[in-house]
Amino acid sequence: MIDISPAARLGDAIANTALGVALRESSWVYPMVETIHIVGFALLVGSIFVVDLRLLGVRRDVALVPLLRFVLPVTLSCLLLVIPSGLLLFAAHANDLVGNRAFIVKIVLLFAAATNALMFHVGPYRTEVDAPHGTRPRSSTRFFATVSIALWLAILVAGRMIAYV
Amino acid sequence: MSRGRFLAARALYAACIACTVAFALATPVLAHHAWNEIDTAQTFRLDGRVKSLKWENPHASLVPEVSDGDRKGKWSVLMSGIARMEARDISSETVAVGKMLALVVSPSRGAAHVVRANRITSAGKGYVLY
Repeated sequence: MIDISPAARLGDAIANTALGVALRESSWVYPMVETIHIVGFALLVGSIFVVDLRLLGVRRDVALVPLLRFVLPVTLSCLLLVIPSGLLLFAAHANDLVGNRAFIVKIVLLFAAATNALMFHVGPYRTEVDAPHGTRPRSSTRFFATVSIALWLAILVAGRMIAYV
Repeated sequence: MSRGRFLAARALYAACIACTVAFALATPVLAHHAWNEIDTAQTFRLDGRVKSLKWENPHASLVPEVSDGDRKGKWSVLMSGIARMEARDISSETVAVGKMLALVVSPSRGAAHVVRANRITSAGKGYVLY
């Protein structure tokens, strides 16, 4: 192996664990884990978009707080599907993934999306929930929603690209 | 155009830019999985003994060594994922190291001596993969 960076060595070590090997060599566990990951991110991104569209000002007649109370648990539940399945898929191919550009882009974008959501919740979210019913969301709120949609779509693109780079 | 539609259009516009950027950043100089990697219009036969086997997802692969003729040498043969092969009665035993295989393969467009197995004959039994 030419690349002997610590990341490459760690990737090799993870991929060579009993778990990594078992996943790669299994006939049905592997496709099942992939399926869980796909179902999870379909519902995750779908639920995020519903909220983002509302935060952009689409369907302002739908009250924000009940909508969030309904959708946020769905979004968080989806994390329970995507994170464990994602970690397993990473373990199966850690040696390839640590040097995979699409994977690195995806992970960076994931952290950006999480930071974006966090910044919205500690920032404009507080004033948004107190705004009178039917008020147009503030420009800062619309900014965070736009960035969220853009990041999540880019994450889907980068994720699909992992197999092709 | 309503205000809502305008905002959704702006989000869509930003999303298109972000996807293009993600695509550009993620696309490497060297792709091991090129878009049109396998030239399925071409097929040829390889008869060789299995030197190594990777029985794994998402694609299993093996290296047969062809002992004579124009195609003499080692080849990198891509197969499908494990579930797809098992559905066609191919096990890791069918293509184990040391087995003599007759393969009908399609070549990679980019890489020399890299092919995809379309049909495998092992121990007198034929298997269709693609």
